[in-house]
Amino acid sequence: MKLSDALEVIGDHGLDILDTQGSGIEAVAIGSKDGKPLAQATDFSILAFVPKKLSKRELSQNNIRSFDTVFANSTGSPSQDPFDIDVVESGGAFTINSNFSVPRNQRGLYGGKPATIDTQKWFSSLRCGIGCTNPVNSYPSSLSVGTIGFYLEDNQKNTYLVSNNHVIGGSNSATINDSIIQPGTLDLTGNELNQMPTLNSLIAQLEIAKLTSTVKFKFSSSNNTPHNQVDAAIAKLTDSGRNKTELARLSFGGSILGEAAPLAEGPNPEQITGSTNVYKVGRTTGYTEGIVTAIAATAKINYPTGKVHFTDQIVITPTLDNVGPFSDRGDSGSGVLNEHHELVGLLFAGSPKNTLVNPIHHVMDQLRTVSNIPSLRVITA
Amino acid sequence: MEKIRNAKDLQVFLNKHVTELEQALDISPVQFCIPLNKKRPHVRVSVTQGQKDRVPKELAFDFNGEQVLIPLEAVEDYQEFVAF
Repeated sequence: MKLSDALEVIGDHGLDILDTQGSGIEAVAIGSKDGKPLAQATDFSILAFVPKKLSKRELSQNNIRSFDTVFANSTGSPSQDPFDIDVVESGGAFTINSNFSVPRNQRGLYGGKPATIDTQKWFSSLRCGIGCTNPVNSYPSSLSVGTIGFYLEDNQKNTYLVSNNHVIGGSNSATINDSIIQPGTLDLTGNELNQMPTLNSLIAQLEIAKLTSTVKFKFSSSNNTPHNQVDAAIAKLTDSGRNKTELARLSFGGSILGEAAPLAEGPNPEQITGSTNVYKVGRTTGYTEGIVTAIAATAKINYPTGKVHFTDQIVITPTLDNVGPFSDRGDSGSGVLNEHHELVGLLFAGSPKNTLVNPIHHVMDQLRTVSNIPSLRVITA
Repeated sequence: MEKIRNAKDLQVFLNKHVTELEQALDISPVQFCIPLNKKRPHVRVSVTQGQKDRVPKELAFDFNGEQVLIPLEAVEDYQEFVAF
């Protein structure tokens, strides 16, 4: 039914439906009838929430009135289309999340980890900050994981994930069209590893993208120290069956809204301006907050394939409100955002106290160049 | 000879001339950056314990066709970065 009709039904008869004795209905609402997400739906139905869905026979045995009967009695007529109404199993009554308060002597009986998104698991809806691996040339003997930082699109509506060269590009050794899988191989359970014992079986189940382009490292040698600014690679998303409507979304609330301008000279030429409060979502440490404490940093990083000298990097220090570091192994590839939810850079390395990030303008410039896709742009909300 | 006090120029200098700076200081290992603290823009030189006194307060360099002084601040906080 049309949304306006559904709203009229709920407005005129919703309370009557709820007040009907013997129906077991806990709530009524409007839902999508055509299976599309609510924001894209064009056909709607009236939903009745019940603790448990029962067969007609079970309803009869327990003297519970069916929803189509309740609907017809409340509205004065049966629904025009049987699919205009539907029953949803809620698992129980809706209750308020009241202030969690217990007598002092019961302390210790309650607890557990707060509910949160697990960035290490398989995701039906691809988003930023979740784990991934390029398993070619390593699986099943070796397991690894990094993070999907953000996503790009081009003028042909192709979409790509962005992570580090050393996560999905094999530090220069990977091959174009290598499969990228999600979750990362390091996050698979023992049962999952047993069910996918070969590379082909792993790819068949978990592939989400194919490696497209890598910004190749220029390695240092005894008589030459070329400079690098970026540890990045992109992989084109495949038809994996995963939802791709939330690519701008970070795993912990919010979405990417744009790219930050480089931290630049301010009105006072002796000072640098730009937002220095940053955060990131990564596979290992999840959501963390930090402060940009330095720019134009240089560092030499040892990769399995050689030593790479980086210049013009951003240094981030965790704020005091974090319980641990800003980043750790497995967070490589995370997008780092400022307080305006703009991408500041791509995380790739760290020390016990600090994290190094490629500035986003270097990342985008070099990805456009190596891929030969000048229209590449960050997917934003 | 003037000191570079302009943050943008310091950033350009560091990106272009880091190899010459390393050679001039002749200290290893070493890392450079421009800290965003409240001090005037300068190059922070991270070195290992006992190396701080080897770093001068400034060094002369050719930059954009002129001789300039690069202000330096040595800190014994060098830590190796590893790919995550």
